[in-house]
Amino acid sequence: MLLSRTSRRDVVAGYAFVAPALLLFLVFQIYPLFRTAVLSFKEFVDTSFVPVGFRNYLELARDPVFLKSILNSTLFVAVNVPVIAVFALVVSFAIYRKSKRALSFYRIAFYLPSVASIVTICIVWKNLLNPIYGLIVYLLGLVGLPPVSLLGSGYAFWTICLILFFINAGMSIILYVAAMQGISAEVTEAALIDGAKRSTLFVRIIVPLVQPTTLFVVIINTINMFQSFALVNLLTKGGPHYATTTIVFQLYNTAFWLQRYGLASAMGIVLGLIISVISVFQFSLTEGRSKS
Amino acid sequence: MSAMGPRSGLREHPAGRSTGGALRAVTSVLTFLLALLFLFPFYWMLIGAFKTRMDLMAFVPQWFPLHPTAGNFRNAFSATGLRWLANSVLTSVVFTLSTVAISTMAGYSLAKKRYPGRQLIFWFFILVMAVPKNSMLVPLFLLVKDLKIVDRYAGLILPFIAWPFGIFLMRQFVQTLPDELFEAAKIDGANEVYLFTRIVTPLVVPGIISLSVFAFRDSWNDYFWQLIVLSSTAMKTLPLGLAGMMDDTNVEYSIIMAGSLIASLPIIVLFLVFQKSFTAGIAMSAVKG
Repeated sequence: MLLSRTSRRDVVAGYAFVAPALLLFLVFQIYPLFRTAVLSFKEFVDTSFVPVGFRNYLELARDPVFLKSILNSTLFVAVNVPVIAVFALVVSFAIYRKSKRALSFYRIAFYLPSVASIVTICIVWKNLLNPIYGLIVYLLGLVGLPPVSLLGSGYAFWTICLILFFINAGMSIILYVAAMQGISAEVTEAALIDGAKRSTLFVRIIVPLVQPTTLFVVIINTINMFQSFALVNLLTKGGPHYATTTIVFQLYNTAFWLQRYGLASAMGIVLGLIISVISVFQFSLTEGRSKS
Repeated sequence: MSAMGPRSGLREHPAGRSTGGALRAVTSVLTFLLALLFLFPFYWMLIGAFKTRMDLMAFVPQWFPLHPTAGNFRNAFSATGLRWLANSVLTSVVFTLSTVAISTMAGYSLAKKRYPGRQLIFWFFILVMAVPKNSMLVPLFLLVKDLKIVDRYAGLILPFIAWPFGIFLMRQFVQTLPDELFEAAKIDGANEVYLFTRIVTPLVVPGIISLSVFAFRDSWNDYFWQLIVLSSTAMKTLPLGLAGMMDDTNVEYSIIMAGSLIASLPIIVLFLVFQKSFTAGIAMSAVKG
């Protein structure tokens, strides 16, 4: 790295230009990262932190609500990640060859829910889901279904799932469309000339060729689903009976309502570990593929 | 992403035209209906903002406002609402400008300068990008508290200015500039400040636009960190203020709909204008994996 072209001026300028970013980064990201680990072995009592060893982790392992939150977060992933991947694949296949203008319309329509603020999305959905005058209950009534509170018990989990799907599907579509447009026209044309049906083309050629995108879509959606917070805090407060509580929602309540900073830090470590395992898993899969 | 390539790619095979064509028409219609379904909540927000209180709560929902009124906007943006809007604009603009400045500088340094530890610093940024910020909320909040910037603009903005995604994005853009450019400028006697402001910055404007769009969106749409840091009514941003109104049963919902329409508009307009930068940025983050 230190060849003759290295000049004193380059070294000084190099450090000077990276310094502001590095400094802020160390203070606001690296220091909190390490402090999370430290605080997870302490607890905030009255006005200061006292060491408690592994007690926070043991408490989490026995806390039915925290375990429920891990289960819920996992179920959000288990339901939505495959559904979004398949939905986005099919929709992208249907739109990626359309004219520039049509494609632009579809991109806007599907991606708009990801672009708009989560708070405004929740405001509209809360109105749509209103059990008395909401549009959805009205429409269900038209087909003879009784009025139900879709954010109430029995339904809340699936309603949150649906809104999570609505918010997250767009990004996957944008990624798949870009990937499908990258497939050489000769490949698809040759298959059709050989008499392949469109469905065969989709299953045998398109799906395998966009597999790297599928991997990315699965990972990024998994990470996003695991960290759901706003939707739950705004629409259900984790209820009813913890049916929709998530890891991040529990972390927020534990830290900022109960002031149990130590326990919340331990939750942060658990969350960080889960996400890291997913990321490492993704990395090893990517590596494995590029070697084979 | 040319319109020509993909379109010329798929011509129907003559034999399969009749059944394929019908199937294709059905899929086209279905896809179009799905797209409308995704757009529907935004239509509902738009008309809800213009409905009267009674019309919004009608038992038979109105697909179009029967008695359109602009009163909701007047009510939503009284003194407090305007303050929230101003807070949102201020924090988002300051955040965007600072993160763009800092990322472009860091990107220039990491792409074009040779100094010990450069690779290490770069990988450092990339690795930490994988750590979810939600996992370290507690120490971050305690730090902001110790710095006495709770319930202040600085508390909202400072912690996230050094944004690994931005640094990565700008490094990619600066890397594409030819080294000869810098050699020539140096021979002509240009100093580093001149080099950065007059040569690098104008040439990476597409990157700056992409980053600005993403930074503005993230900051304008933020809710979680604002919820943690802000406490007084006067400091609230638009999303936080609206979220508070949602829980207040005394506030008419049509007013909240009007507020949320205004809160969505800037970001929707930004997306429509810079659709290309948006899509390119998303695709870029995918390539990086």
